[in-house]
Amino acid sequence: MNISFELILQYVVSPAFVRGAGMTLLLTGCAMLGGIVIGLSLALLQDARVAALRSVAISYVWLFRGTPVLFQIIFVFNVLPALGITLSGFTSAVVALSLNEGAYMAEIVRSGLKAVRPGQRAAGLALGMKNWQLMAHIVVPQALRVVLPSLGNQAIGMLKLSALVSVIAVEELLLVANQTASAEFRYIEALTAAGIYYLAITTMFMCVQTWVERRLSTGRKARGGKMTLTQRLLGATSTVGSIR
Amino acid sequence: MKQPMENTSSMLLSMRGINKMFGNFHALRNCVLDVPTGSTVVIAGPSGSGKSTLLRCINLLEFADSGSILFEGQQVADQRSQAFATRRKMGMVFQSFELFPHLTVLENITLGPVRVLGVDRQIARSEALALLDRVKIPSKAYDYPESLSGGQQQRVAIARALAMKPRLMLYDEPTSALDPEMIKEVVDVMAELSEAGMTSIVVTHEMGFAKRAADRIVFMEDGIIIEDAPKDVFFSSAAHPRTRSFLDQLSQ
Repeated sequence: MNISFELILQYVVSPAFVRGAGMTLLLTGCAMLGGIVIGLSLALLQDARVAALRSVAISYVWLFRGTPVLFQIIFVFNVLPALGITLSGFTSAVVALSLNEGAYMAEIVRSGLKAVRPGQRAAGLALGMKNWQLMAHIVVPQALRVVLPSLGNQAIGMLKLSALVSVIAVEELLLVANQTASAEFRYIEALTAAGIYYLAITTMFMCVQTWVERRLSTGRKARGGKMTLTQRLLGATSTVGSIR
Repeated sequence: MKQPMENTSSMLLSMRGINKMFGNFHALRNCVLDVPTGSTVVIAGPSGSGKSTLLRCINLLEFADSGSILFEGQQVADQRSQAFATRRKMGMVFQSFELFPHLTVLENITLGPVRVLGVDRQIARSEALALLDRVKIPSKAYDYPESLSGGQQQRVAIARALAMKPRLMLYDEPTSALDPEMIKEVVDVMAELSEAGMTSIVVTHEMGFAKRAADRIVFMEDGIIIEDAPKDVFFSSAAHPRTRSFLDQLSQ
């Protein structure tokens, strides 16, 4: 078997692969955003005073953590049209991934909000802040520091999950690679090119995460959660891979 | 108990018949408290006696179940939706400091004025620096709270409250979480403020502060104000036996 490095390079820079990688990034970004919004809503619902609202949140998490993501993707794409809701492949993918991510994000957001001591809210209220100011200036900035490592892990997990949506013909990286490979019978080269993209993007995510964490750590003493980039590359991926 | 003698118009704060329940626990029972403008009132008493709850009812962090609270002549007890507007006029200092860990000392002090009062950033900054001078830590403006000692953090907390230009300062056991050697630096700042005419209500066991800066001392037990007397009377001839046993314990 001979591997053509030249062909790998050609694939990497080809418009189809660049578009595929762009689509993968876009899917990841949109689904993460949707996941955070759903997760935040669920986190607030879980601590609601009305018992019915709490059970809505609990049922949601039970439903979306208890079924495979692949099942959810296919369900949204194939079953919703029967109910009169027809979504494009891309929208279906984002909806399914967001819904799934929200279930996991709820727990993360909740732990972040819990980490802010009640006295901090009292201090903000004593300054005459309204509830939204309290959230914006005191609670969220502090919660963000707590959840950032998990958020980074989730983003990397999402990048890899996004490959699943190739089953509903969204032209993301894996589908492009697979199509190219089967059209030209160059499996090694096409899949290697896709692998290079995935590794490059996860590495980029980790760099961004490290940078943001450094910026937010405000020159304080290193906490237990500090990791070097190498630790991050090896440690973070192995745990994320086993989540779902 | 002493009857309020002054007419209520010189009163900055006037509470009548304050009751507060936490479930079945009667935290405050018919509390009456008058605080004339410019005076300093110390609230003492065993833990669980309702001191902190009384303080938190004043700036509406807790809402009394019944009773009236006149602040600057205005009824505030039942104005729940306007609570934030009332709180702006009162500064509060907490036992555990509660500085915002994600902000520098300077940002901690300017947050309220800039975000809540809409003060210009530059003005707020220079006022904050002047306040840091006043609480005697001008060199820590750009540090984070974490790197400060307890005594320094509490003085920053005082500066943060003062930045809102409050009419009334509320201190909730401000020295209880401090090492003994740091108590004095905080007490000094509080006493200087009181001497300069800042109306203050101080929940504390620190009788050194009370002797130095209080005009009146209130003693609470089981949610009831059992003694409310001018400082000299309180220390020399407290009426209630419970107060006397408290004072005896202190002198041992």
